[in-house]
Amino acid sequence: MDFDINNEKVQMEKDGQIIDCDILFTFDSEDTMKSYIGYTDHSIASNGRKNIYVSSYDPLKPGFVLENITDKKELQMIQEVLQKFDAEANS
Amino acid sequence: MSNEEKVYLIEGPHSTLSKEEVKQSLKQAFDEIKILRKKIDSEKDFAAREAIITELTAKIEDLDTRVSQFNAQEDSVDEVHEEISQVDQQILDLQKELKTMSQEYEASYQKMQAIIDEQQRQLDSINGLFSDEDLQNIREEYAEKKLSENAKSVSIKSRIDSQQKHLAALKRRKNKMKRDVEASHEAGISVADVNEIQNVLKKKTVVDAIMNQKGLGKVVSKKASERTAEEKKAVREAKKEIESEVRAAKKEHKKEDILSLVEALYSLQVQYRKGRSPRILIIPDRQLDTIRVRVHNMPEKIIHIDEASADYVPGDIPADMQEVMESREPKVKKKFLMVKSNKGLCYVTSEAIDEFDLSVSDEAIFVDGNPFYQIRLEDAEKLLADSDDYEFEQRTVELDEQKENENDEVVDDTNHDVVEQVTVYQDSESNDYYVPKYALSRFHLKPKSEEVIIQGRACTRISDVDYDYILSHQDNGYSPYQVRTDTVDIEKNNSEEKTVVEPETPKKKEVILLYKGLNDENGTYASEEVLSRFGFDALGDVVPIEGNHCHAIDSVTEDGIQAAAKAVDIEVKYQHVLIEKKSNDPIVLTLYKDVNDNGQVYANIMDLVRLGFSIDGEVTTVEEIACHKINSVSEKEFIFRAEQSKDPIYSVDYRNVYLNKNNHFSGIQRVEVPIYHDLNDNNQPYATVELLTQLGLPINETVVIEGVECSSVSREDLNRIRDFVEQSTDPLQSIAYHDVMVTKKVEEITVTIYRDTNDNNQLYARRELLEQFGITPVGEITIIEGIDCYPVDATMNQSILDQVVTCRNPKYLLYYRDMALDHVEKLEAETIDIKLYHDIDHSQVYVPKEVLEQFGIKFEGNIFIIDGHDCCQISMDKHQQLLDKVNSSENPKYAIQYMPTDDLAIKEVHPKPHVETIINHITEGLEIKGKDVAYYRSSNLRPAKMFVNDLKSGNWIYNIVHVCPAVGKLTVGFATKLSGKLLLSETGKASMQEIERRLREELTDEEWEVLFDEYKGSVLKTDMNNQINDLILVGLKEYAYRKVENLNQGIKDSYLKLFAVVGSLREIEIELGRDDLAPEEEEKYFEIRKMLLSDGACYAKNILEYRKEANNLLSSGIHGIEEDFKAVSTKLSYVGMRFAKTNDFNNELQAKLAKYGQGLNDAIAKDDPEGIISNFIELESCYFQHTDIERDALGKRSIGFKYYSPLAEEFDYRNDPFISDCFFTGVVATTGVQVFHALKVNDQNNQILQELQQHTKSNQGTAFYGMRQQAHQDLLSASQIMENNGIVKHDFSSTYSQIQEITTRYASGAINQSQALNEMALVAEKTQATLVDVAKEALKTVTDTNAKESLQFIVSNPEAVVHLNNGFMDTLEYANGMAELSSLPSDIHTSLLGALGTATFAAQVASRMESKYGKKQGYGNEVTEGLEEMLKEGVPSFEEKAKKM
Repeated sequence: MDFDINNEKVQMEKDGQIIDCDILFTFDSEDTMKSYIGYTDHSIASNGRKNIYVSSYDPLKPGFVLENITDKKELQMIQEVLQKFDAEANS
Repeated sequence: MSNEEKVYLIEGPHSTLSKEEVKQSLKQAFDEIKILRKKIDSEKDFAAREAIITELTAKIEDLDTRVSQFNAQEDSVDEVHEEISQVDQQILDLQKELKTMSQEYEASYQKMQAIIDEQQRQLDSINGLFSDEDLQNIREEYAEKKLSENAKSVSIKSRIDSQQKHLAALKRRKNKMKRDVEASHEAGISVADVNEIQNVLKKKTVVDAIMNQKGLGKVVSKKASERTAEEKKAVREAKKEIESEVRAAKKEHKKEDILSLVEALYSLQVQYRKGRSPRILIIPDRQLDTIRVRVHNMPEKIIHIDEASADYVPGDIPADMQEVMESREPKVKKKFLMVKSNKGLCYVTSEAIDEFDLSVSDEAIFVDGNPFYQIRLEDAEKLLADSDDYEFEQRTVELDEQKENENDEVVDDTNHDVVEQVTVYQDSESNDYYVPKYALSRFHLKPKSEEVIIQGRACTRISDVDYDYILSHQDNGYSPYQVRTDTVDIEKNNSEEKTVVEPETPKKKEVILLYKGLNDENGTYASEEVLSRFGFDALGDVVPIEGNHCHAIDSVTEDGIQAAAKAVDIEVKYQHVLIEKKSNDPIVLTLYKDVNDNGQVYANIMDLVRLGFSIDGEVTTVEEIACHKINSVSEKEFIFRAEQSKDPIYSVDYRNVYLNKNNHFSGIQRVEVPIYHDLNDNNQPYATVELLTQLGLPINETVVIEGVECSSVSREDLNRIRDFVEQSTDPLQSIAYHDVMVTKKVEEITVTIYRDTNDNNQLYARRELLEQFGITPVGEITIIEGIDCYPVDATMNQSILDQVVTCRNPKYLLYYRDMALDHVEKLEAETIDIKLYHDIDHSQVYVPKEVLEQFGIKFEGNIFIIDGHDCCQISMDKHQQLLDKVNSSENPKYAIQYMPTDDLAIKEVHPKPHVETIINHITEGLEIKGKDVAYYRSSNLRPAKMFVNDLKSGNWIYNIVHVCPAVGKLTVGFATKLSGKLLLSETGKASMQEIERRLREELTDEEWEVLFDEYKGSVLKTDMNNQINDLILVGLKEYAYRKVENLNQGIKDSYLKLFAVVGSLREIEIELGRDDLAPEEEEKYFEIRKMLLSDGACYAKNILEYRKEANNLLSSGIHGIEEDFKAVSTKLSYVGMRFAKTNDFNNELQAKLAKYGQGLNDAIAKDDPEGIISNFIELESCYFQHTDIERDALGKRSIGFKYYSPLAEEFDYRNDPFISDCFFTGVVATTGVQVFHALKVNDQNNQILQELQQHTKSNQGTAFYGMRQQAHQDLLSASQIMENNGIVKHDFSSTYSQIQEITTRYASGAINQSQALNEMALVAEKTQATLVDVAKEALKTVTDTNAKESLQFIVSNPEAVVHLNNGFMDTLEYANGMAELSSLPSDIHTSLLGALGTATFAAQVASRMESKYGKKQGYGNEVTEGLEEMLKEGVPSFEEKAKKM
């Protein structure tokens, strides 16, 4: 079922406060059986860039906790996805 | 009189007297003596006086004896009592120490307990959640503390054990000493005597000999195990009798030693006297030479037997004795020439001087070229007297002036006081010394060169040593002389030299001598001459032997000399000598004490000379050594001078001798008794068999020595021989020692004594060994390595050691072997039956696995469970192997019993599978993605509009942060939607479903058991994909739930049995309360009561145990720690019991619970069945009575202080009735949605519904009930309808199928309630919609439903619409409210706000719950029913009965 992620939020605890983050994108991977979420709190890093947080979500684990991504293959996949988004947006 | 009092026994009419009484009696005796003495003074009559004196003497002797006994006993008893006191003190000290250590041990235990409690408190008191790492740290910290404390505790315990053993040993020792004191009192002898008697009577030879006399010889020759009971009794009694006889004898003859008494009593000859240690008399070579010289000077045979005159001077022939020269050659007179000068002086040749040992002057004349020496005139007269052996030819010469002048130097020979002159010539060039030839024999010197003429005298060179000797002995007391040393130029003129004839050297074959040191372990020595002759180096120190400079040689050199000598036809002979060692060892000077003469002391004449004493008085031969009697003053002087001497150093030694006073120079012939020393066997002595037979000494293996049959003798026997010889008078005998070589191979025998490390190193030895060493085996038999062994005490051990040390052939090698003995070994063989199972039909024997292991037979193949034993099939070979081992067993003795398997079930058990095998089974052939692919593929890409816009604009560049500073959380709804497609993707679904299917359908319980063991609350394998872990987890939980269910069944059974016991106990109490109850009946009831109490206590303990195990499985084995802490944070705690959540804490209740809880633990510890049952029931009742369940609009909830659940509950809130009721509301919501969907409303319908909505809001209760009844039917209908309408179509179908599976299994009983709930919650987690969302969603699409069908429903159930509507609204509100409940753990949130499907499922489950927990306001079970029933009559108490008993 498709659903609209535009109005969805992700809560993030930062500096002791709960922050609602906008979801920028999601995608799945049948290879890892995980979903991936890109979200942002619109903060700007010291290098002037906007921070996009990317986390994974394993639907088979209890709890609805986002996990960090450390696997290189997953990171590579994220890069590809972002490039796709970029290409599609500018096509 | 007690044993502790000192009892003094005095011979005579008195039996036992106290110390004071003894003193009194002695005083009395002394007074009597005083009276008698006075009587003597006053008595005038001689006869009467004599009588009084006799009486007085007797009394004095008696008093003397008694005083001596008194003193001896006082010492003896005092010593023992002192020793007992010391041991007592040691025991007390040790007991104190043990007490301290026990306290330390107890403190350590308490400390351990405190650590455990502290850990538990820390875990219990947590308010927040601990991470796994923190928890691990806590556990590690406390584990370390526990380990450390445990180590201390173990160490203390080990010390306690050791000290207890020591204490036991001390007590044994004390008891023995007390027994000895008691025995000494009874027997009237000292404690030392008692011990000595015991020691003597331990010797086998003694006991056997005595037993022989008592007619028990054959009995004692048997092994103890072979003796009958009567025989054993007879031996025991005989031993007691012997002991008492010997004690009585000792009492009578206090001065005799025990062994002598035994010999006397039983006419034995078992005396073993400790031999005197052999003394090595070191005789310096010079002394030996001097003695030889003296011997040489002494007449060969004395034919006149008489008392020697008191003024006899050694060296001179007594005037009254005739000298007889025994000629060894045929009676041919020797001819000599005597020359008389014109001045009347007589001269003879050197041969004559040698022959007759004449004193000469240094005056010499040459007659016909031959030297003649002046002799004393009186000697000349003697020589000229008639003789059968020689004759002197006389010649007269006229001396010239020169020679006469030379003759003026001749000393006047007629003067007996003129000292002999000996001239020694020293070569001015070489500094060698030369002496006249006669001096060689005079001083027994060895010539070092051929004859050399010096100043007209035939001289030969002597060694420096000999020169020193001559010089040092000139002032000897019996043959003094003066040495004059002249330095000359010696012309070695060949024409004047004459061949030196060595009188002692045989002319036929040259002989060289090698020396064997008698006091040097037969070390071999060779002279420097011999060594240089044969080309060997003279190594080491110079050792003077017989005037030669010798050196020690090794066997190689010795062999070389022998070979070289043989090559040149020279004979090698050995001479045994005493080596004068140049060591710092003092020279031993022996003083002889004549025991037969009141210890009169004799000193060796040579020693007296050494120490500068004058030699006078009678010479006495003592052990073939010429000695003088010395008085006490001289004795002291002797010792003093010996001590003062620094070079050489002397030591004085005493030796007891038994002298025959007629034993000196009387010419009495002695009979020699040969004793042979085997040089090859450390001088093992041998005596002739004849002698040994004569003396009745044991004869060992005989050998022929010098043509005489001989046997080896022990040192003790040798001393007996010596004593015998010394005491012999007719004929007089002396021992002649001969060195021989009796070649024998020394046999080495290893003997083993066992040392028990488990019993304070108690020693044990085999009977044969003890008998071999002459020790009677006594004491309890201990079997070591299948052989009877006897304890060995310190005395026996020492005896064995002594004998081992002194034994020669065989040589015993003693070996102590440490064993850790088990002391429960019995002498009698134990019989053990072994059961084997025989399947007659299939000719197959099954053997229990432990039996095969016991007999070391390898088993293979599958395990079969027969009669509760793990058994194996065995082949015929292995069966025979087993039979052989069983038949050959002795102690224990095994016997096989074959059990037919007809009535026994044989269950084959396969070997447990390995976890890897199981995982492989699950995943085989499946494509488990996630780890193996080269790259990951993405799907379902969903960019947000905002993001797309940003990308389009190109305004932003981004940092991709993939390791976030804080982990984000998703809402449930979003999460489920997010992964919806993923989970439903074909690939993932296929693999996961297949795995699930395999887990569900193909894994056996045994395989689940293996996985469960591996799992234990954590992730199964970290290198596996998460998917697989989670799936396995599901199955593991299912498996665990099954186990819990079994345990719950066990709890239920135990409860029911406990209730029955309580009922029976109540009845018995009633019976026991009857007044008319007969004593036998009362006794019978008490018996039954006791049994029931024991059974009841057992059931109570079972309940506690099962409940704890099951709840542990639920709480930590299944859910993991995280869940536990969540539960704790919600105040759900106490395994087995659940608390109410929000009530105030009830202190009074808690105090009661504490009392009963502690009472229960105490009763279990003390194994008090009454206490266990009482406290258990009190506790359970408390919980039960304070558990209140109330029903309200939101469902049933627990409102009491406790939530009591007798059975093991899911350690989770999800089982809470409150929560389960929430599922009811889910049902309502679902149904509501269904209905509204079913209503394909048009505007009109909508309006109707809205109106209905407003009117029926208050009637909510009915809706619940209604829907409940229709739950099942509606579920199916609703799902169908919903599906038709596309509402959450995809989500629901998956969820629905899962729910349906759960439902089906639960309905069929394949899973239990708690399991079903849990699975349902999981499904809720997995599915994609929250209750609120779904409800909202459903409402949105309400218009999409099929109105027609819905209307039909509504028409049929008009009220339902209203109710449903209301219910729906309530549910919605409730669901909203639920979403905001923050006091509940998040999982409740999750569980409750499950998907639509979850809710519908919950309805079904909830209906089951209701049926199961129908009692006690909707909750409870048959257990609570039983409890309720029981408590109707009040809580049973056993206190009254206890008082009565």
